[in-house]
Amino acid sequence: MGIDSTLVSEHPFALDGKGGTARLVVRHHRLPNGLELLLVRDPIAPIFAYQTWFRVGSRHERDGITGIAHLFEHLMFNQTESHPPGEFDRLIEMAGGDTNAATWADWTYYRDNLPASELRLAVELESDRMAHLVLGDKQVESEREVVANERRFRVEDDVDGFLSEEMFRIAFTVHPYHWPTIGWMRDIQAITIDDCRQFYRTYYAPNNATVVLVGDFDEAAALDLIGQHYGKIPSSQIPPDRAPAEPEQTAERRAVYRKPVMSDKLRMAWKAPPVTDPDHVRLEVLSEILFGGNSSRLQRKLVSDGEIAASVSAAATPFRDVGLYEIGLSLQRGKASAEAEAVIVEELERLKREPPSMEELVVAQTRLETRFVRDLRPSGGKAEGLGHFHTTFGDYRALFRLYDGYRSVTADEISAVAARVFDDRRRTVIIAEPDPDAAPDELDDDEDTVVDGLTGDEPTEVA
Amino acid sequence: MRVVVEENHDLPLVRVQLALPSGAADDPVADDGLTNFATELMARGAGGKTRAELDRAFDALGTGLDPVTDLDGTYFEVTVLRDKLEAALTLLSDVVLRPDFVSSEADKLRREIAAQLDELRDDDGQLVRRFFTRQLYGAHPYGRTIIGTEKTLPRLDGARAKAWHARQVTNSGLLVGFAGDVAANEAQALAERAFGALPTGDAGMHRYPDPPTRRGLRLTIVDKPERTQSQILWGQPAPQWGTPDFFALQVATCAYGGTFTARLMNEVRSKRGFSYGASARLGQGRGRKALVAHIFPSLEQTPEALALVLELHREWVEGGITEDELAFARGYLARSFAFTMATPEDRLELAIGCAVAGLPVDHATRFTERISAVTLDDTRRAMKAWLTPRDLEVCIVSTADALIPRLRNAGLLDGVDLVVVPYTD
Repeated sequence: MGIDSTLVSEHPFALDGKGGTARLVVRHHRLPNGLELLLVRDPIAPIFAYQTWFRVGSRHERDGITGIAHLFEHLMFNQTESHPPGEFDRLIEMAGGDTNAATWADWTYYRDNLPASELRLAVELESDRMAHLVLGDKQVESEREVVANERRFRVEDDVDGFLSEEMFRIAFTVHPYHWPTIGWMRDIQAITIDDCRQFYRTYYAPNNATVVLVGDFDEAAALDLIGQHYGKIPSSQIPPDRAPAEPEQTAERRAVYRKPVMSDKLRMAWKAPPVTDPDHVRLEVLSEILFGGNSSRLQRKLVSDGEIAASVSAAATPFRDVGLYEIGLSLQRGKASAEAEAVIVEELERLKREPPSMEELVVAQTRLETRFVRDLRPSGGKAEGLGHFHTTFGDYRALFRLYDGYRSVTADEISAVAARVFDDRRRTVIIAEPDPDAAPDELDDDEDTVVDGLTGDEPTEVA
Repeated sequence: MRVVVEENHDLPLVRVQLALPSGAADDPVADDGLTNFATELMARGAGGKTRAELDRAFDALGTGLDPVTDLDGTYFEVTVLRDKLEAALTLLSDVVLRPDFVSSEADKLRREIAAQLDELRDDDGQLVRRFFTRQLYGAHPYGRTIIGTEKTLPRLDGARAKAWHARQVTNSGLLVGFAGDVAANEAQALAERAFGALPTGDAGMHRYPDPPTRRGLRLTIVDKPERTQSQILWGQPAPQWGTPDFFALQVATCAYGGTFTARLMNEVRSKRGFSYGASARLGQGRGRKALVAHIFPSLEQTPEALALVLELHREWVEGGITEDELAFARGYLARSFAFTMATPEDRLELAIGCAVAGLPVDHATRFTERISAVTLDDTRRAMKAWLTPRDLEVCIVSTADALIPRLRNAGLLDGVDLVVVPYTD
């Protein structure tokens, strides 16, 4: 017998003015233990996407156990009281499905894509590991080495991963965005079994999660199944989020590294508003004007016309707290990062003084809208959009407001947000310069790194 | 010209994909990179519009045009909101029918590709694939690099690109695909209007010779400083996609390294934690591609991990797969096929991929039936016919002076043809 859920709200899965998906409806339910459910019946194909979003990420860690949220994501695939190691994956694959997970600063989510006939399997497996995970030394040790190898792959041997990690380490001094989601290597090696058990008991509870189900399923049957399997899992006392506020940055921070790269790599970032702030969507439109398509201002000045950079990209972090607006470039051989910096700063200053043209604004809005609709095509895309917005904003309907938000941004608002964000004092610059002859034992921190204005207390971790 | 339509009106979105069954494998050795160069240049000035004007026009439609070249084909793709479809086709028509091959843009493109070669060297995953392919195929058409090399790049110019266009971009070979919010009859008419004026000519679909076979194990170390881990690929040429032996090997390869619970993942990652990823895949194309397996262990664990996977490979080839593995792999491949056809865009991609590879139109509809019919004997026969565990091509991106003594101490270089090349080669 299932446990009844309460219908909290429903909303058409419609994009105003486009209407194509109006036949789809999002229904938001809640179980008595606090588990939230977002259901969208979308029989486009005989499959479904089943995602579980937990409101826990690297922001909930502390120094000494950085990386535990991500390590835990690995452990969730290992063993439960009723399923031996590896059986979770095995059962999903035998059904023809695939499964994976992702961890970031503010959330962790688990996803299963399965044929329509396999809803019971997804509900059984996901509810089982929410409540009955087995955490022993054997499980933790086997995943610890895998995660250490993942870190070597993503950071130590990947110059872009390294620069990204350094950017956040230097730009944030107090807030948990300071450390990478994968964790410092020394912490990955040091996390204990007790740390893991405590983390599980604290954060893996129904009242800290949202299940999102999109695809070909019967809604009443799905609710009944979910009620049966999750209804008796006890809720937990989720501790208040105590992430310390990052102090105002008052001076530019800058670091230079020598790496085995063929040309300079440059990253520039400014503190940027949280994703829930109205300025975030303005910054997205601004970013599209500067870096979006091939005709955008800085694609032309840096890549196609200027031939300073081989590639350039930019984005604002979709974080709950103040994050970064980050620009990344690979320079053409022989070009200095200072030249690219000057071009970027000049364009940002111009945008503060002069609003973009109406043509630029409309192009940026059209590109963002097209990408938005395209990303929602697959069931998994719809589930990811709903899960992310419900977890980060606390309301899935923010997804639909975003679509309308792009069109409502004005040219004057673009200039105003540029003036608020692109303040030199809130800038961090990270550069990798070519050093093809360097070998690991020939370098030390003094030779390898120059850091100006760095106020953080982390030792510089370079080669 | 053939038109493929996957109609679906759920979202106000249409993807248009043009494909020509002529890719980098058709490039002459001396002009390695020509197809990529020519197609990129087509999008940098056409129908009297400059590159900047074309970029602005595509951006205004909410899309961008980034031509893609692979070994077998060339692709132009845009995704637009429904009300921008006709305008997007007009622009695409200019690019495909009326490219201007502007000399100054050709000069600039050469410099951009040189910069792409530099960027490629910063990515160990791309580096190991490039060197592995070079070693495995040599001068065979599938040994082409797609974007070219520093040696061939100076030869690529507007005149060669123009000649390529006249030869390869024809009505005979063109595939025009639509997925999304457009009716089939409307799509057909739009395609005729946009591309019907292309001349007839070579339909592409060239067949390629068998790849070279080698005897013994060759180990190529791509030497790059400061590596903390090794990117390792190993493999050998496989049978033709779509043949009975391919289906049989696809099942066997799935059991070996095709899923998260397959042998490689289980032994390398789950039991030993040697590598974050461990996988094996059979390449699919118009010609014979390769069985390729991949791990990336730490530098310190590379000898142990390499010895392990070479032994696993030998056991798999010589011992075959078990009944349980057969049942699992057949079931997984058959049931998961639904995900390759889940959206209109997925179905279009599959249809175009099959067409460019020269597979019959029923390939997709009969895939599940064919996979389900594979027997244990089929897998053993196919493995015996195509795989020899001692004749492997192995390629590693790592730091040579740190890795080679470790491999030597582990006895892994005995009887091995060792090649060391700088990563900047």
